[in-house]
Amino acid sequence: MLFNSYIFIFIYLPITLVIFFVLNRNKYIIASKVWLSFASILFYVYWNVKYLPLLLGSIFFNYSIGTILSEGRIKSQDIKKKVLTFGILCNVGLLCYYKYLNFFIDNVNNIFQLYLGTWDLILPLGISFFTFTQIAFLVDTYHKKSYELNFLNYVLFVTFFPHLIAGPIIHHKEMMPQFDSLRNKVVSWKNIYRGLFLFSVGLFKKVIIADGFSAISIAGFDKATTLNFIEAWTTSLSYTIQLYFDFSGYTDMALGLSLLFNIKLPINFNSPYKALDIADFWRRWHITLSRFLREYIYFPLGGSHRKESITYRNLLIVFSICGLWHGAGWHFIFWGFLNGLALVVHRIWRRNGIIIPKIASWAITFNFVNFCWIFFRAKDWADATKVIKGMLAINGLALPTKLQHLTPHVTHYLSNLGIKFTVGWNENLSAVLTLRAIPLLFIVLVISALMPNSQDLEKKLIPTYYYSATIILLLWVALGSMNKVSEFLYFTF
Amino acid sequence: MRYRKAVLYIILSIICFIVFNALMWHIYLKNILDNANVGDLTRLGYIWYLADYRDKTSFYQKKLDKLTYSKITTPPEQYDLITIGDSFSNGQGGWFYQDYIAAHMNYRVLNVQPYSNRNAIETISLLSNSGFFKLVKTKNILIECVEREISNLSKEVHFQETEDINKLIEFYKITEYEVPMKVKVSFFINDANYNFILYNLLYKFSDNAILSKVYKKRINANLFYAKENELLFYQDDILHNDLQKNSDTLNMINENLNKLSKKLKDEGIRLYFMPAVNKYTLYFDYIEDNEYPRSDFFEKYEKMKKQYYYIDTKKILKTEVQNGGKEVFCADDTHWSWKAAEAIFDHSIFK
Repeated sequence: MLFNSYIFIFIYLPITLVIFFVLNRNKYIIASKVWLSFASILFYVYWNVKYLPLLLGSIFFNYSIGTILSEGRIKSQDIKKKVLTFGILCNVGLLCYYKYLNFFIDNVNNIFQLYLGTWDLILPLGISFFTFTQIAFLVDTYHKKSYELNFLNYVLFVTFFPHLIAGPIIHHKEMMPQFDSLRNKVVSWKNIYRGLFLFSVGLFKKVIIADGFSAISIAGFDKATTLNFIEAWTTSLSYTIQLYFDFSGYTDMALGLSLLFNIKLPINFNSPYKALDIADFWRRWHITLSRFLREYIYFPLGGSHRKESITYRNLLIVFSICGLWHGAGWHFIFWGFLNGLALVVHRIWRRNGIIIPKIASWAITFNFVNFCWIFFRAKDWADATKVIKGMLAINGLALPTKLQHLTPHVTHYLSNLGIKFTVGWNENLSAVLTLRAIPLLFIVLVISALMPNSQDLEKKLIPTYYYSATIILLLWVALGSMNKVSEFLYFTF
Repeated sequence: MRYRKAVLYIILSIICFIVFNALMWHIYLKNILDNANVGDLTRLGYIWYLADYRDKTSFYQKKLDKLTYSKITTPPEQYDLITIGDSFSNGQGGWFYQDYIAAHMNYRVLNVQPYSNRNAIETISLLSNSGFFKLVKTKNILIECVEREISNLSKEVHFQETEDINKLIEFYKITEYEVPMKVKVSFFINDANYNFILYNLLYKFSDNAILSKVYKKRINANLFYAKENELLFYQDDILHNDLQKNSDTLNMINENLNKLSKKLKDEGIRLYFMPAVNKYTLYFDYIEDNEYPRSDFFEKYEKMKKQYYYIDTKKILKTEVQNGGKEVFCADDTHWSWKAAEAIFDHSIFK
């Protein structure tokens, strides 16, 4: 089930919420937890019931390992470490099997000229998230930062539907006290109001902005064979906008939904496109993933407390893994590596004390991030090269002929600069679509780079007619646009 | 305002939203979108007053038997005419021009789909090279293409390309065009409910309601049975005019067709080319206060040296309209009516 579906919004959510609070009101605390866990599992199996045993198996396995680590049965630190390693390897193994096995087979085939068949595997929904959440739980339990002996609590911690399929990646220690707090068992109109605000903003970001720009990025990346300068920049910027508004929109919805149940999830995005350097970007983008990578990979590798060269190596390793976590493909790994490399360069830069104006810092950071997203989005190297070539104007600069008529006095000079005026742009990414997108891109970029984000607004939120009308408007527009009627010609004789 | 009151307002607004959508859908939109007997322009422009136009107009009761074949038989039989094209050709029964040819000439007519992302010229060339036409013993091939999409035929064709004949037989044994009879709407809450209101308000200020793909213009003659003096047409009829005017594009199309005709002639097959005139082009002379450009595709194309049979639909249908023919194109649709199909058949070289 998706947050942006009618069945979720109009049926699943109200029923789950009402029953949860009715049970709590009547002091059926355990029953309310059972209900919320059951509803969360239902939310998961609505996609595919086939992967329920996998989810439950993973939960049961990690709960067992966690119990062994936390109960004090094992005195030897060495054995405890082996148990933890076993637990982590099993989790990573599960992830590798579903996510990376075919990628591995493809590479073996390419390197050794073999023809091994790939496996017919469907990536279980949310596996990357619930696996990382549980690895964090095991490590925290090992370090005595958290423990959980109650199976029901553990199931709820892993399956709580707002974070289950797309994060944020949560920590046991920040969640369970909230589930256990008696104050959180009563309806909080303030939290519901704030939750509805975050949900409506998230839904609007996803449905209107992200889905709106996805048409352009699909046309540019997947359908077009060549792109001219303007088309290529429109394509890459559209994807940069789409990705941020899609993911942060989904996270806003998750945070808002969770707040309806009086649970505060950690924030995941903090206006990343305001970042003034790449390190700043990674403090603002997918914050809970960065936290996981820092605490569970970067620090164990030595972090930045050893030689500078070791720090650089660590950054490159961590970000290559970050790339691989996002998807099984060399272009994902390259995307991660590029980000790691940028962090190394940034570190060297900072050590040398070079200061550049803020606007230049922002422009360099944003353009670098925009450039890297090309590798993240492209299905293969050829697609990425196509977009980059266009952005570098290797395919030439083309403007629609209508502009030629509008600007007769400068046309001559533009032609001398090698700018062509053509009637037909790309078949899929039409001039009309591209030119309409440019002002919208500008507006959305300004909003992303200068305006307060949804969390900033939520903090200031008070129940006024203005805010309430805004929530209602966002909901009406987004809900009405979730189901688009296709427009096509046909012949009804 | 208290939090509780604010939340209740929001919940109330969501209930209003659901009720609003339910009412809009059941009162207006269901008749337009969930109705097989509605023209595409009515549907695209949310022209509510034409929702029951076809049900109420006796002109639309006329239907022909389904005589055109849309896939080959096993083993493949003989077809006198093979047609390939777009929505003007894809279908059978009712008003399709192929049914007139089949009925009046006693032809076995097969309509085929473009093969694997190729255009009509590429497909026919490929079928010829692969021996498909020998198999189905055809003597005539007709390529149809609507004027607004004509530039699709201008791309460079690899006339030597072949394909395994068995693959082609398999493809054409099962591939037929399924005419979508109505829009699939999964839920009564949808953007059409908003667009309906928006378009119908904005049509008062703009020919295309600013956002719609359907243009409305006043005309100075009574050419349809629908609301008098109104012409509806599709945006691409005027948007793609630049491409059609380009001489290079027209030369390329003609060159491609001449080469194809030569190739087919060697097999004893006659090639016919029938560009289907845009609705806007056909009724151009009747539009009042028209600020949109004229399309001169047909005038330019007529002058080209052709080694194939050419069916000038603009000339044929213009005569029909000038003779007082009503509803040559459907008032509510981008396509022509049975009257046009009949006229083309009566005037064309098939007769």
